[in-house]
Amino acid sequence: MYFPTSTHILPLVNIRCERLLPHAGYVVTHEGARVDAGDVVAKTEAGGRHYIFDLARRLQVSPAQADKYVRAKPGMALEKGDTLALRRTLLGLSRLSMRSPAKGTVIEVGNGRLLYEAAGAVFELRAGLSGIVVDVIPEHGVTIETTGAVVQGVWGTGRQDFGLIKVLETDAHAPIPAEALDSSARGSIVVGHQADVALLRKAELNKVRGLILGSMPAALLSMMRMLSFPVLVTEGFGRRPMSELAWGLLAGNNGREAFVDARPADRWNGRRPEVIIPLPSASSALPAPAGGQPLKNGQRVRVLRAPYLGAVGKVKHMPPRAQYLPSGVLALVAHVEQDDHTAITVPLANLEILD
Amino acid sequence: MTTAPTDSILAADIGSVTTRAVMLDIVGGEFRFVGLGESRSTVEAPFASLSEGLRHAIEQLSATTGRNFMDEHEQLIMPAKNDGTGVGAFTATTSAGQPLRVALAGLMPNVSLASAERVATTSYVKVVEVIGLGDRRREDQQLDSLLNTKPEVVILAGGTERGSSSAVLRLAETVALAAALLPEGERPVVLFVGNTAIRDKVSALFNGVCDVVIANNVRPDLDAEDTGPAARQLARLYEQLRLAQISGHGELTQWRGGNLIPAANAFGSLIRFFSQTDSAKGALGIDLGSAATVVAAAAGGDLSLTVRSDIGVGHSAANVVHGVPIERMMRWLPEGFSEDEVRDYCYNKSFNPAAIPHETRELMIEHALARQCLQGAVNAARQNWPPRAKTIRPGLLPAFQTLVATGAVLSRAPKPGQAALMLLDGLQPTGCTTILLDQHGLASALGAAAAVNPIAAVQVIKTALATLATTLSLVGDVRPGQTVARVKMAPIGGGDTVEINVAYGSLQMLRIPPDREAKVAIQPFNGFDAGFGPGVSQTVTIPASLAGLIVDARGRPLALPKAPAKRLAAVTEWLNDVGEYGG
Repeated sequence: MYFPTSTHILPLVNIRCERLLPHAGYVVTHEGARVDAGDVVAKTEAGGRHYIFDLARRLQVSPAQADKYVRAKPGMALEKGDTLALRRTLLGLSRLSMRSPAKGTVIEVGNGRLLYEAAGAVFELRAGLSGIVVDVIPEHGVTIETTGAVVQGVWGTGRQDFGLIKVLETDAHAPIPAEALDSSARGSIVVGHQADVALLRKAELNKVRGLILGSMPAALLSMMRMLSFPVLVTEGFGRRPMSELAWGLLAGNNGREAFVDARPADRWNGRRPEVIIPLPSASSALPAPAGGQPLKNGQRVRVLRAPYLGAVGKVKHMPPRAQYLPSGVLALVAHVEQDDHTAITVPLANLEILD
Repeated sequence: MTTAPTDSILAADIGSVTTRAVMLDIVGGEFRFVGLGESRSTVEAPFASLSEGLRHAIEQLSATTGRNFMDEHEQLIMPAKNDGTGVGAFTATTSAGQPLRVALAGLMPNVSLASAERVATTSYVKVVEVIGLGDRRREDQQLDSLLNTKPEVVILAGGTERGSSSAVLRLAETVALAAALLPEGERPVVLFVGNTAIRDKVSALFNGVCDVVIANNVRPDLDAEDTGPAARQLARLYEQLRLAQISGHGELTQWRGGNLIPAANAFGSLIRFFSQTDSAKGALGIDLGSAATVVAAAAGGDLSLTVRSDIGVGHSAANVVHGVPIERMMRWLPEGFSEDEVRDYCYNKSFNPAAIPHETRELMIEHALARQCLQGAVNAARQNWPPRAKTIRPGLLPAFQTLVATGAVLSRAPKPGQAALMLLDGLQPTGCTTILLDQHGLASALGAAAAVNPIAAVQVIKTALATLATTLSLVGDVRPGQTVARVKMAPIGGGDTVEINVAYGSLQMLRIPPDREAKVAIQPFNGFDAGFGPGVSQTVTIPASLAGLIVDARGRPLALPKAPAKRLAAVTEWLNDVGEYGG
């Protein structure tokens, strides 16, 4: 039995999406609540920087003596400029003091040193998609359930955002011309086949909320990571169009709200970069995306490597014995009938289940 | 636990991509490698259980051997029964867990920190932060960095036995402060490997904050290093913090009655065994995996282990191309490949690490990637060669007698010359080396099996590893084209004698009839060293092998021609003549 990876490109399924804070905070919604994409579901303070003050040196006393000049106690919240420690000298005519550099909290005092934690910026976690809160993870976030379409990708720049899909219909075998993206794309999740430096710059300039592409050259990785919006790639690195299946699903939902989770794949928890498009469903009994299936005859598959990269078809037969490939490598293979009914032979290792 | 001499052994190795179940049993009075079952590893999502893939591999082994190993509850039958079902012993190794996130804290960069780093490289580790006296950051900046990187282990080193204590304690205070600020479930374990005089003070600092594990001072003296005990403690921490958390681990421990062993350590045991049985020149082991590459070097029983958890030909392929200029990979390819194509290939390979090259073009890129991985791993291991490993010249790879190579990219190379060429280009061995190729992925399993039944491992090694080639790598300097040696090879028991003059810059593969040993007379000129001394002639007997004798006079270190056209011509010639790509 062979267990290939699976990529989900599904028009309508039941979806559970976990929305978590980067670190502990508090949840502001409750189980059963209906949320929209822009609703805040949890808050935290981004980790503030720490300061270690050498009070003894500042106050010109020994470490043992310094503690008695401390005015702020552990746990005390302070504003910027508040007095942390104060020593009057020369019969009170002179003052040596230490003031808080920013709003924050005293953590620890002792041995002539003071540890201060500046308050971090408040981080608000938005739902990102409309749905029902089905689970609250205390101090960390929520699980939102919805029905809708899912398009999984292979790589993302790490950010998350939501907006309305805007499909740019251009030549699938070339980067989107920069002039195709104008100010009307502001706030959108732009969908296209390929992009280049000019298009990325234009997208940044026009403040898009996200970019979903079929492929990108790996040479542009550094630039993509610096963009202020998430970039999600469905097929991989190089220069090739988005698959017909993914394109059809995204183009068919042009104008609809989508949540782009472009966090890179995590092989340990199975997370993949993905686009979720909430859609209404009359049925409450929709399936959830399945994983961990063995490869079987009749299964719909996609080819992951040259020379049939991106080809989609059905497994017809898997010979029990390994065969020699043109490269000379010996491997177990599958005979696959493509959608146009032509037959190809592909190593099992180069197939993924498409569902 | 050592098993009875006649017990069969089922040895499992759970890799990042493939899980193997290997059967060792008595055949004709000796232990033999009897069968192999393989399956896709299931450590990662969606299965997230190592035992799932192992069961599939055992099922395949059953189909291959015709023997039943599992009972109706899908549990391993142990001990073996009279009806032939089950096994006498079970061992398991893995390289499939996530690397541990480790921070290093020490005093001097080239003393305690360097030793701490060498300890870190002995296990599956990702170094996320380094703090030392040479650090220009303020203490609160170091504190914030520890909080942001959230290490799982902090290796705290510093202070020779009669040396510094106050500086180490200040460092320990910073680490303790960071640990105390982290949520309780996210605090690191501190591995203290510094001045033994302050062990109690260090333990007291962390009391109530996080666990402290103690090992010998890695730097008892400025000129002395003792990393062995610290490395063993780190390996134990890896097992406790990482392997024990993998789903299915508990079940395996019940089968075996012990712990899952990190594959690198088992592989190291195998290489140490080779060094003990096979001359003073020692042995080198290379495990080129999908996510990690392991270099195990041993001489006279002393083992040095280097694990690069960020270098591999599958999961870690993107790291490799990200970490070095792309030209370093391009130099191994003939004309017609672009930098974008090679870069894209490596990044795509890291998404689909199990995918294999369908066409020769992709095979060549994959093999170029393998060369780069080998070079990166060996460069990391350079600081750490065993004391008794001798080099012909400083800076070169020691002249190891035996090289054991494992990893699917090597074992599944379509032509033996391709595997040999990857190793020659990537490692640049010196002198006369016998290369053993682990064609079935048994090396780590054999290393683990040796712990339960040394005799079984010794007997199986003889037949389980194929002799890939004997390489003769000549060391010296002359102008290109000058003759540097005469080599005469005569197969023992019949066959044509071959005699060649070896020109500097050349690479030649001399075939031996299958299953025939050969006598090779080596006569170096111009002070060249074939591993026996500058200008020293020697006659050696080489074993039968898949690729024969490969005479490498391209120079050490290997310097490719600078002119692009000449470089392309040279590389193309080597790939065609030795690698036989597309042939």
